[in-house]
Amino acid sequence: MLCQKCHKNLATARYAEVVDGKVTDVHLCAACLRKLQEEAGTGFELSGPTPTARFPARPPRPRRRSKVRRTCRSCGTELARVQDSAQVGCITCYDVFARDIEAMLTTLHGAVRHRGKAPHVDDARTRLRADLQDKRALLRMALETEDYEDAAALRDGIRRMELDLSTLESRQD
Amino acid sequence: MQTLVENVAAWLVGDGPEAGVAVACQCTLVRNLADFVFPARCSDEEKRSIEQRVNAVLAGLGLFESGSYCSLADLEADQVRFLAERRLIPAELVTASGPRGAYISADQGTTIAVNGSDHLCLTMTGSGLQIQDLWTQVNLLDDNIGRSLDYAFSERFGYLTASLGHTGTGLKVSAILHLPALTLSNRVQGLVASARARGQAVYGFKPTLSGTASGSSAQASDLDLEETASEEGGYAGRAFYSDLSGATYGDIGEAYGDLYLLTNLATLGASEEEIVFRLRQGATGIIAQEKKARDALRREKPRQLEDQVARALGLARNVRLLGFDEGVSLLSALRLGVTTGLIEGYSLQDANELLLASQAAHIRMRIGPDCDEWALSAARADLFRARFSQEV
Repeated sequence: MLCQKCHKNLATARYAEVVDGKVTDVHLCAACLRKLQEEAGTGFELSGPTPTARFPARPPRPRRRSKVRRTCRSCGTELARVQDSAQVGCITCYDVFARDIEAMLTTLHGAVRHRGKAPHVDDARTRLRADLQDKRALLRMALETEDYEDAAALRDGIRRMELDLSTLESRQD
Repeated sequence: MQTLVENVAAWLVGDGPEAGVAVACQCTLVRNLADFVFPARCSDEEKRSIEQRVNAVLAGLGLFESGSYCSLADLEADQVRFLAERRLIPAELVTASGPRGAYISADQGTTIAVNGSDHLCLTMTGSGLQIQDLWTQVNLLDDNIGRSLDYAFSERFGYLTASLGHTGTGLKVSAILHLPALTLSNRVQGLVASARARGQAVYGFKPTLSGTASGSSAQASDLDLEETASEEGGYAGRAFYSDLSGATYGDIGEAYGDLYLLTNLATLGASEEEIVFRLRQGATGIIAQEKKARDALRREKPRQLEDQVARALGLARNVRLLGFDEGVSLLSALRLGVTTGLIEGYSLQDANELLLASQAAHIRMRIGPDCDEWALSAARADLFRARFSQEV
């Protein structure tokens, strides 16, 4: 779902505003939510004198982020990017950032555990596809470092594994 | 492509249950292959490989006997926009890059988008409110494809998707509702709160500039559009694009043509059956309220209602230049006239077909690519006059 303010980023928060008893519900991205909250202020104006600075106003605390730049070992997606866009790069991101993703899923869905249908799983295929995923990650790394010799070998290996996978799939059919 | 342009999508006939209020409904399943990274991170080579693999599976299932695969790389920009306007591909596929495309069934009710924001996006569209039937069909299709492809799945999180907003079941269910009476009596706002309590959302249908899926320029007037046209190399025109949930979103207050979208928000934590059941229940409740409000309108303000419908019919028969926004408003009044029996001789199909046909890329596909906003407006007006020309 796209942010209803900027229509560019993915909406990661629901923002409900009550004006004259009417509820306006908008879905916003992190940036627009921050902007709106800054504009909205506290929501109430006090007619009396401003309370003394017993609790001095502090700027809103920035979202807690890990000091270390965490990236997915398979696709290279950074955690900060996942947190900003609610988009992941591959299935390994779900493992690498499991705790952070759980927190985001709770906000988005109010749940973290899947209930519902599951696909048919075959052990040999599961193993092979996991290996394929690893090999592809290695191939991307090899290409990034311009290691074309290894890349060629990995590509050959991937092709062989893809053939094996399609043989297994046709047997399954 | 020409066949797609000429053939009428089955759901446009308007013969589904509760079609007087529910224009259409959609069931979408988002799926990814386990051994590839998600499309945004895929190389073109990987995307090509995914496309080939999916096509081989679809061929094995015999789907090409009743449909075909459109590779977006082979299509012109207007043709891609046309597919998005016809609700055959999600907006995500228009904005994606590299090898991508969609399988489209002959009746235009089943589509499988490949390499959009996710590897696969299985969608069934039907007339009226038949969400349960659509779910049964899309579930069967998913089972059949899933037997030959390994889906990205974890016991804990369910089906793994590029957007965390679709993780779990990957199921998005939606109904497009036409609510003129509830809009008139300012009761749509109340629907938002009750939908939220059910884990659903109600959005207003909002046009987007054809060619941009963001909808950021949706507030532009026709004059602005001309300016945008010159900036964007001569292209302009407004349209209703649909994203994975069924529509690009708008606030309740800015719904065009009294069209709203009811959709589920959460895809994780509830089973597919539960999501479908709740949405059907929610939509049924809204439809009942709208019907009641229409009855009240006919009882309490018959002259005003008649006037609104008759004015719309008069305009539709005589208009010479018609902008997209005004066209959508006219269709709303005409649709209300058809369902309340105030105008006879026309069907919901007329309104549904015109709703699609009056979008920019649809017109361009018919009259040619070299037309400015004036030519679009003139062609749109011609469409309305031709459709509503006969005397009732």
